[in-house]
Amino acid sequence: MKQDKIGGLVSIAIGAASLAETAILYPYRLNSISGDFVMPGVVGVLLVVLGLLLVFVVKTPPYEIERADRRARLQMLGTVVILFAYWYAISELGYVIGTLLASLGLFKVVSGYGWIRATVYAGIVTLVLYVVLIQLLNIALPTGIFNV
Amino acid sequence: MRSKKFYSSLAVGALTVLTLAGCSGVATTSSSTNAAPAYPTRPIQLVVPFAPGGGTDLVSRAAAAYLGQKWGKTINVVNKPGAGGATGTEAALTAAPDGYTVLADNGSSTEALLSGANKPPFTLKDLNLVGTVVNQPFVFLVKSGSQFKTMQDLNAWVKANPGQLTFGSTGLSSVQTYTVIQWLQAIGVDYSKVHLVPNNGASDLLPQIAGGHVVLGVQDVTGAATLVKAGQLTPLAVTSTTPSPLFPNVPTLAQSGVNGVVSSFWSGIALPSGAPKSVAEKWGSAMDSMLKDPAFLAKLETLNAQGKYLNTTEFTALVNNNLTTYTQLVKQYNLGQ
Amino acid sequence: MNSLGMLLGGFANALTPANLLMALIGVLIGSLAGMIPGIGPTPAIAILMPFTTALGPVQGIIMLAGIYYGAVYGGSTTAILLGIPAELQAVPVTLDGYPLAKQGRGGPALGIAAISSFVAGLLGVLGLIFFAPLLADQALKFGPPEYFALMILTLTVIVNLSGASVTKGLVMGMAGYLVSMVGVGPSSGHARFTFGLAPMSAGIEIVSVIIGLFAISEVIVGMSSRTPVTAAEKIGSVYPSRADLKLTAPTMVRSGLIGFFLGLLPGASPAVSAFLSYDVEKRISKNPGLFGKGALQGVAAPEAAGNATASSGFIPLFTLGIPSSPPLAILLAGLTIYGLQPGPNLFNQSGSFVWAVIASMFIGNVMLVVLHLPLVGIWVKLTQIPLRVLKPLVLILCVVGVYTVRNSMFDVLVALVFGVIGYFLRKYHWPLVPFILCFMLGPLTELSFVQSMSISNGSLSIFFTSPIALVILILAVALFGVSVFLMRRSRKRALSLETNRPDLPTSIHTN
Repeated sequence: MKQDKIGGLVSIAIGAASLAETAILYPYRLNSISGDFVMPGVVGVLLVVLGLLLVFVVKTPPYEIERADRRARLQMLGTVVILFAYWYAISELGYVIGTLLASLGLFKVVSGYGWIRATVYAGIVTLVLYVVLIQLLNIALPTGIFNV
Repeated sequence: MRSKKFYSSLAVGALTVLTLAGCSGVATTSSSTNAAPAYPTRPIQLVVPFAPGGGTDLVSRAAAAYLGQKWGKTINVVNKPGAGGATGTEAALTAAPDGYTVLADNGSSTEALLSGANKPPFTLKDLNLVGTVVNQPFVFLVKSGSQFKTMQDLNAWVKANPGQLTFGSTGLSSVQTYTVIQWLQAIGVDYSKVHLVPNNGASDLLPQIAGGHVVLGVQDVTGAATLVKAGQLTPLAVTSTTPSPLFPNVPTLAQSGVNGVVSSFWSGIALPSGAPKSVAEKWGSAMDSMLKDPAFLAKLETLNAQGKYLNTTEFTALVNNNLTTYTQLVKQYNLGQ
Repeated sequence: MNSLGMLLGGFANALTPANLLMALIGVLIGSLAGMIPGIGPTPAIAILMPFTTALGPVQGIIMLAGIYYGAVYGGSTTAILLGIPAELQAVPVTLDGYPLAKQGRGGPALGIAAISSFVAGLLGVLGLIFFAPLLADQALKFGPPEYFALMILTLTVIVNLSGASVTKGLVMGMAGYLVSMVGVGPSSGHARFTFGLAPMSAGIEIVSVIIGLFAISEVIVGMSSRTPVTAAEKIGSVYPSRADLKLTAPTMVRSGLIGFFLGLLPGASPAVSAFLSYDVEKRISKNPGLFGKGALQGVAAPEAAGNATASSGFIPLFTLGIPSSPPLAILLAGLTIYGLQPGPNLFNQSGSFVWAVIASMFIGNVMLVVLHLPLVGIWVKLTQIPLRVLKPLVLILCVVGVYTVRNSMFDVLVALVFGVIGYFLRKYHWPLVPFILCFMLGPLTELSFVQSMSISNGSLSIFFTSPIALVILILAVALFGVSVFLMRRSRKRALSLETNRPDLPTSIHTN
């Protein structure tokens, strides 16, 4: 299929990157055929060869590509954005507050609950996680600027 | 309808406030800055820059349990492995220097790492080396039942067949490599003729020796103890100036005619150099008495570790001394990255 | 048969109501921990060990054993019911377990998983009792060249698990190798593929990749799917039927044996055994097309093999003090704290205590089945929790689970990135299994190669002079050839079927 040819191009690209790294590592070898450059070299060559095969030679079996509707796409995008925001929030605001905000967002975007229900559920989830992880199991989680 | 919404909002608000209030109860910082404030007033994080289960990790956990009990506040061991110890060390150094993030380090993650890196992620000045918990020698190990019964046997064989010597080490700039290099220098063998077989640590290396795949291993006595006691490996010599209590019958390198090898393996505690001096002193004196406590020493014995407390001055001197030796070796044999 | 007598004595020591309760609690906590994506046996034991040290020696070890077995099994529960493998060795279990759950047969799948684990654990303990010292010594014969050959053998599994296009599978495999190299080179210590970023030099944690590729992307993909994902309307019988048991019994024994022997090797991982045995079962099955769509053997094989490896890992642990895997290292730490000194004299010196420990392991294993078979009904109800509640919960748990592995927010970021990548990979039908397989094998493959080269002073002949390595390599080549041949043949058959009977669906067009 045509899309797979694009995959082939990507394969060639990362293969080339691997070969570049091989060249960088060659001076640090242990002996002529052994060292940290060997695996990047082998993998790089194979990736380039396989990529070329995909682009020019091999006809991969066809498959159906699912096209999501607009609502689903927004949902997915929203989820991804919230997750990355969650990651950032944990470092800056601490795990507890981050989880509260993120679960609120997720319950709203993914589950489609109204603001109130989402907040309540988020509060419950955060509370349970706090009790189990931080109090019971004593796992050290980031605490952020509010020291929570 | 409206009152329902009102009450639910109230409930939500109350819940949120309750949650936050409960959380903040955990973290009360002592903000006074006068001499010797109360410490610790909340749990301490002890960062171990290695994976759980290793020698330094186990010793640190034992110390954390002991001191935590003594001070009445938990000391949480947090493993942050990676990059030979650099990841965890950096994490500990970039945390707030309030004395509540402490680093458990060892020779590999400190002077060995610094000696080999051409762009060191930190410098010795960033560390306040508080004290050691264990300090033990390395031991030269070969397969039991091999042709080497004494260190002299090994020396003679290596002098005659340098190209056949394979030894295991965790890397080019590891203490194991340095020990072997110094040994070869002392007996007059060219290091470039021997073969370094890289590995990921004791559990990789020791079966390789026991199985006869690698000739020599240089391991700290703690890591070696199990297999030696199991009869799979024979210890030939230790690198300390006096025989190790774990292997009382094994001669030292000096006794076997090899002089000038500087090598030891320590595990200890360090604080970021910006941490309050009172905290460092408290740790120091607590560790001093900890290593005089028979209960703790007995615990160390079950871990096959040799406890030894060096105070901050002695500790810093040891590390600096090692660093000088190692840096010189790196330059001489081009081991750096 | 003195060993047997000692074992019975050990049971006498271990079988008290209090101890049984400890085992039960251990398995329960371990299972719950194991179900959280990212928390496998290692973190579970590390986190929970402080609690067990408060108990006495025998009780503490029974609890640790329970936690260990529970955590290993817990990963399978979410793998089957939600399609989310909580750890690497649960990945092959997902391949058939999840389709089974979607067909309403999650109960039997879970039951078979539990029973397979038990059978394998039994084999492990029996092996420990009767063959321990002998086997441990033989295992030492495996050095770097032999490990390298073994890695090459495991590579051939890719062909079978690539789905429709072997080329795409190989690309994914190579990509997996590539990502596994990020960090520091094994021999030079020089940074590799780090782009100058400090966190990259610690390498990419495999759990982050698994969670991202399999868990997070699964949730995202679920949102885009037009067909509503129905939790099965009718669960049917919650327990495996007699026919199910008969079908999977040979698989359990075969995979158990494979896992057992692989587990003797220092450094063996249950995940490798799980993948290999899955592949073996698929090859020798009369109905290979069923694998990947809901073959019970596809659940039994990795479960049995994985648990057998986990159990037989106790053999080098006890006789040599060498832990084959991180959870065993921590277990060893736990045991040494109780005064256990591994070695061939172990059984002579510590005698009754050791047998009590072995009995405890066995009890933990039994407790696993006892606990989970009745609970299968409850776990299955989990799938009936409305997905809209489950999805955010799973995502939140993934994040914390990944964090706890190395206490690293970077790992969480990696998981998220792979979650997005995984979505696109799934959309365009690029197989994930070869990627994760090679990612897992990469470090050991490369290290074994470099080590072998160092030992042989740069000569490739070392792989051919060692009898064990040579045999394994020949086997690998043979298997590869056979796989490719079989694939071509089944594809030809399906194509001819297609032209003659266009009404029948052909399996080659599915991933």
